[in-house]
Amino acid sequence: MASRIVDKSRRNDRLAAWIIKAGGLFVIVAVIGILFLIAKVSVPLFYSATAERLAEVPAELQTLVAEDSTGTSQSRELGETGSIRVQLISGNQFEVQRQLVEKDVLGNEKKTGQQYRLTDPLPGNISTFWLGRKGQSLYAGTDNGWLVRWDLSGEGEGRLIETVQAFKDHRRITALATILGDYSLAVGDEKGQVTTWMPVSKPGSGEDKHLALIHRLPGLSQPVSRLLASPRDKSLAVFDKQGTIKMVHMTSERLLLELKAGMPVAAAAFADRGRKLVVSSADGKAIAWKLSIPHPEVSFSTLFGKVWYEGYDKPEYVWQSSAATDDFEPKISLMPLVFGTFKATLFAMLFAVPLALLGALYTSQFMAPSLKGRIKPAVEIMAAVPSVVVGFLAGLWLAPLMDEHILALFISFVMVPLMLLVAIFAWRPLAENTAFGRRLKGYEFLGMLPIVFVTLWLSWKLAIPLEAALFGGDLKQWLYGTLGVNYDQRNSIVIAVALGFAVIPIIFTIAEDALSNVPRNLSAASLALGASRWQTAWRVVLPSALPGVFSAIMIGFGRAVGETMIVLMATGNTPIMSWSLFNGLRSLSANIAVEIPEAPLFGTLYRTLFLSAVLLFMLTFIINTAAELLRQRFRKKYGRY
Amino acid sequence: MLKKSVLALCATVCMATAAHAEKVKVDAKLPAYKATSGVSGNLSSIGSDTLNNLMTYWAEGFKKKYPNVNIQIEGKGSSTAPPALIAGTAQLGPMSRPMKGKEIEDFEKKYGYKPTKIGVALDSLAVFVNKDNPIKSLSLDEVDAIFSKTRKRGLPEITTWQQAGVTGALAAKPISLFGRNSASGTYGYFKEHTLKNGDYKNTVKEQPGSASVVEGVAKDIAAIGYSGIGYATSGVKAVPLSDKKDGTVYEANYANVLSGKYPLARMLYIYVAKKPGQPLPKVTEEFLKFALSKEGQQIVVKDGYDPLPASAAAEQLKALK
Amino acid sequence: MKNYWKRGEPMVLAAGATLALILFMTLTLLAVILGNSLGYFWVKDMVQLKLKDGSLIMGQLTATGRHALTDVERLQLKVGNRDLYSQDFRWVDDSEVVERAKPDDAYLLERREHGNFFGFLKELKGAEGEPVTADYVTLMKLHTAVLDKQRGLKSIKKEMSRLNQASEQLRLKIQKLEYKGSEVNSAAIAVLAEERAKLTMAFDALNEQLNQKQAELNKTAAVFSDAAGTSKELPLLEIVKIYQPNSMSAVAKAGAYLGKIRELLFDDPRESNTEGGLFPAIFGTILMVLLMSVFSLPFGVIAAIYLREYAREGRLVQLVRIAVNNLAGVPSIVYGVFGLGFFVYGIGGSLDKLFFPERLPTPVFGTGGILWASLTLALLTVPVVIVATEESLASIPKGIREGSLALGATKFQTLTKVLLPMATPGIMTGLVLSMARAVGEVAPLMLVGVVKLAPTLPFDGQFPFFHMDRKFMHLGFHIFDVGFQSPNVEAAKPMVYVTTLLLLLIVIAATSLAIRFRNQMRRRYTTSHF
Repeated sequence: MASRIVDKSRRNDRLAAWIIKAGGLFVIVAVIGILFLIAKVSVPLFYSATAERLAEVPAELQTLVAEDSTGTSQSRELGETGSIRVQLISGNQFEVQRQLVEKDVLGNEKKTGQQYRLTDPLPGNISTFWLGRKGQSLYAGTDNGWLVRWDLSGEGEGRLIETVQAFKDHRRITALATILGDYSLAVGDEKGQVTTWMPVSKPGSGEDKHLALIHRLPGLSQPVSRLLASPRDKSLAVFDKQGTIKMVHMTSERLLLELKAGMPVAAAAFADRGRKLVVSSADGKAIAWKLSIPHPEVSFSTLFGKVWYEGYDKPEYVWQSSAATDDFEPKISLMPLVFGTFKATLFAMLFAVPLALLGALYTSQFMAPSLKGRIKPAVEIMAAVPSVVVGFLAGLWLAPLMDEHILALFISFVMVPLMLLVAIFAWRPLAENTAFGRRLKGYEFLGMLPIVFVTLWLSWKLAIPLEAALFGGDLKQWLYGTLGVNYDQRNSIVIAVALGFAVIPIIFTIAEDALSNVPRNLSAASLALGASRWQTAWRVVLPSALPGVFSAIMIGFGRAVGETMIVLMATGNTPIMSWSLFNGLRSLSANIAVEIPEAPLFGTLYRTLFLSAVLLFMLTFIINTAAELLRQRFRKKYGRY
Repeated sequence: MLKKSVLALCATVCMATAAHAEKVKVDAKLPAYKATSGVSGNLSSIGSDTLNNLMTYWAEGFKKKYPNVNIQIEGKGSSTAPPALIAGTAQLGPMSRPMKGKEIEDFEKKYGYKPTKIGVALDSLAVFVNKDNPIKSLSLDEVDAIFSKTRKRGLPEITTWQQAGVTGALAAKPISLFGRNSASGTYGYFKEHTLKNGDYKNTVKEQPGSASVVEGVAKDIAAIGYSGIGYATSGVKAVPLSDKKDGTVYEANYANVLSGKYPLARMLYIYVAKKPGQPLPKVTEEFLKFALSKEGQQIVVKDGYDPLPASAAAEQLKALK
Repeated sequence: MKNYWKRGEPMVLAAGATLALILFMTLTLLAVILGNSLGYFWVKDMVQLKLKDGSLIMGQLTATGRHALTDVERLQLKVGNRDLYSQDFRWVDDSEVVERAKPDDAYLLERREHGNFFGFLKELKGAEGEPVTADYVTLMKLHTAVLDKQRGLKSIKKEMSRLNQASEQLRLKIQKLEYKGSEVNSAAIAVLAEERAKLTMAFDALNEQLNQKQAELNKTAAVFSDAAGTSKELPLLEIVKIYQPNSMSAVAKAGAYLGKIRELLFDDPRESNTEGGLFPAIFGTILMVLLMSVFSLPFGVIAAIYLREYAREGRLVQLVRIAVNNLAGVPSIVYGVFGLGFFVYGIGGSLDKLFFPERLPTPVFGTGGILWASLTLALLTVPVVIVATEESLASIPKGIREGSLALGATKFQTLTKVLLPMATPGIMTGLVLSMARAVGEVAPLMLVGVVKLAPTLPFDGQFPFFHMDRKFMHLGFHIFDVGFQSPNVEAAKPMVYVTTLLLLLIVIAATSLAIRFRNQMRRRYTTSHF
């Protein structure tokens, strides 16, 4: 009988062990699997490009490439507004013909024609030229390394904007092309180098911006014979006479692909919105490739380095991922986001950790047990305040309030410790000399509550005359005028308080648990040896609870790093890199929330956002692992009984 | 004209309401909606948050006609519409901007035909300032200089209100910028038309909703922000705009939107996947008809947008055939 | 004195002060929410202002303030009548006001559309559209009568709904048959189609009847005018509630207050969620969290038991533990994206292909829904449960475990009879934390099933009762949506605060319940070491 029970319970035990092992492993594998799935999405960012040569060149591609001519004239259809044609004529001059079509609301068309010559004297002979795709600028390169730019966009005749000596060594410029968007000019020369240029405003240059060298792209060993900009993104195909073709990307300065046509290329074109490349030789033989260039704009330097983007005056870290048009240059530097995450977390932790830990220490060690039963649930309820609530209040209530009473806040930073000191002095005779005072032991914080109230009220009252007297009635104005510091309504102080509010109860609860779990006999022994209650708490209890306290801070940190809604709602999501307390920030997590609905599935932005998720994970991973190791060392040192 | 001068005399109080003081009237020639039979089933809409409330209002009105239609509405940004249409998770894709080339291409790849674009309302994008801001007007050139880092319109950077032409106590204050997040069509539209595809400054506070832009501006005297005119509250006012600096200034009212004089007017769309030559599913078609009917356009007015004139509505209805 | 410092008493006080500060913050939060939300339901008096230029405006005083630059004092009035003025609120300079009055006969009408109407009763039309005496009593009588008749139409609506559902079922059946081969099943399809046509006819007849009756009801109308004298005819059906705030007693107002709370809790939202009730959102929130707990608690506990009691301590387990800890710190939005990719598109999409191929491309499970949302949140909160359970298992002294084993209990018996009961408080803490987090999580939900408007609940009287595939509304998202995206944010703000309060109450209720349970457990099982 007894053995049957034993057998049965053994069988149950084995069964249970098996189920628990299987279930446990399943959950753990599933949970960790998430990480791999997330990482998997971001990995294709770094796949290299491939090209597949088509066995046969379809007829429409043949005709497409046949249309490409590199004669002495170039023309552009300008959609509904007309067309423009530029012809290089003898004597280093251009002839411009323009057809203008104007349409009024009722749909009536009015056509006008215009014809003129560009006869500006040039520093060299024109070796190649390029009319921008939008017909607004005309570029020419000379045989001695000069670049010339005309503006054809105005009503009247074209205007010479500048001549720039691009290369000091007088090398011949052999090919020009504007990159998609018509802002940057790619320049190929006889040494095989490819560079991109764009107008940049320089100090003292007046209204016009001047062409400046921005990117040096991977070049060829032979002279560049032709440049062809992709209609899809900021990529460029570079050709030489022998039929070597290199696909390069402007922003990332990456060499994407190298193709060999195996014949001299006379004409080339992109088809299928940049997914196919066709080239043909002079005798009409055509070759076509199907290109697969998944994410040309991504490289380590675009993600983490400073990049000189189109329209900018200098290289910068920028996050601005999208626009309504296709010819936009995505700016996907993760640095401002990483910075923002650190900034938010750091400020929040600076605010939360001291408060939460001291509060937990007080609750677990000094507070009267009857009160403790009430305070702890109260803080736990605070932990339960949904982040969307905190974010909403921080954004729409706290931020404007702080905007109005910023000085009061600063004053209270001084006033609170000051008043505390006063209270401490006042407290002593009361606590030690009266029976009432002794009974108050364990209830001190209740006395502190009104002091906090009164201090804040006092600071608020003080702030108004102070602001009028010292800062001309407006501190923010004073900050801006005198120190050049811009106070933003949605700033890091708001974040620190709001995020701190979310993190405090988490740290508090877990740390309090850890502190309370320290066996009573330890503290009793300490007290019996004559240590004061603070000495006991600080030197005996806290060290033995350190592992738990560490894990509390760790979990709080994790929450602060990953918190999305609060940061999203309370900041302006401004990707600024400045440590100023008065600026906003944009964190990785809020960035994901703001951008992922918009990101096309499996596009560059989508994968970059996943990459930032992985990055976020790695951030927490490193810190958590370090904390875990520390914790284990502490555990060994102060070993739990 | 008389009315205008009266308004000008009126205290700043009136300024806030001036921009939209006159309630827009719906074109009387618009057809009234006729309910038909056999309309039932599920309808799901994913897309623009500018159109989010409008869709919700339409859904409420539509449900009154057909109590058993089950409508679900999500609005997180125009860019969410194409993926949802492509994945089939939505039948209606409200967008506050036309689809980009890439989006149409993706759509075509899945369905083999192009998406159908139906204009359902007019919207004037407004540049809002605090109700106490004394500024009279702005040009888009100046707005570009305020908001843009790349300043493609060419004016030098504007950082304080003084540079924008304000005198008095506000003049020395730095301008605080509010804008939308990149998922919104408003963000893209403003970028394209005001910034000429330039880049926003880093300091533009990207808010996850237009209401929050307006709230931010209402609470900050030195703020400026942009969003649909429908989001105006008593705490902000819409600045009359001109295209070029020193050009003629137009208020964001219905007449100026219709005549095309207001520089930031746009059409709001609903995209559907309609196979050429085949009718749409009945629910979807009726919903669109409802939106383009008199009742539907009255709802447009209720939500603070501008209704289509009858001729334009008829034009849009043709696309459903 | 030196001793006083040495003994650290001041530090005790300082620690007490930090706790006071924490409590102060919590109290402030509560006070702000309460202060902004409780007043929302109180029917405020209406004031009529005569301005310097002679115009009259009427509304409820909502705020006072100063001009940010000139410091002129002014008032903010809620003037309502959105259909006439296009904005609900208006600022008026104090100096502009010449006269203030509180007319007794001013009406406040809550309407189905366009928000509130503030004005005076001018004319009244009876059931046949005939003019009747225009006074409060008659108005109320007519209003009640109209609403009663409207309620009488419910049976028709119910029948229509039934017909519609039947018709929808038939449509799906037909679709399925067509998918399987429209030629093979043409006979069956024809039969079904005919059946469906019949239903549709019956439906249309009822619809016609309903519309007629509605039109009939719409004849009863009232003409109101605003303070400036612009008149507006309103069918009484359009009016939800009628008040005369200035002649209401405090008791009557209290009654109205309760009525509004009832409306909030049990009614559907109106006017793009800025008015009316929150019932679908409350229901959705609670159901989602419960579903989530069903998934996350058992799995989390099993995983923790495995890690702590069954797995052999070593590098691997340590690594796994660190990984799990880390997962608690992965931003929730990432889980949302994962849920979207894995559950919705992955599993949901496959389910659709397997079971509902005929309905494609319209997805059934391949779109966000309450099931996917719960699963996503369960994944999000599982690490919290694991960590908490592990922590509490770890804190049980070795001696107890060994004692149990030494007495001959098997490992499993030790686990269920000794360890788990002792660990329950810790597990409950984990569950509480995870539930609290789940209720407040909005970011991931936005991707996997929460919508702005879904008046159809995921649980109803139709077979199979639980509609796991349906989308749902959520209080947290409601706050985000109404607070940040509502077109009429001024009018909607009190609603946001009310929603916030409600969400907070739910969270607090759930948390308190769990805390109480935990404390009971603790009392029962904790052994004292001293």
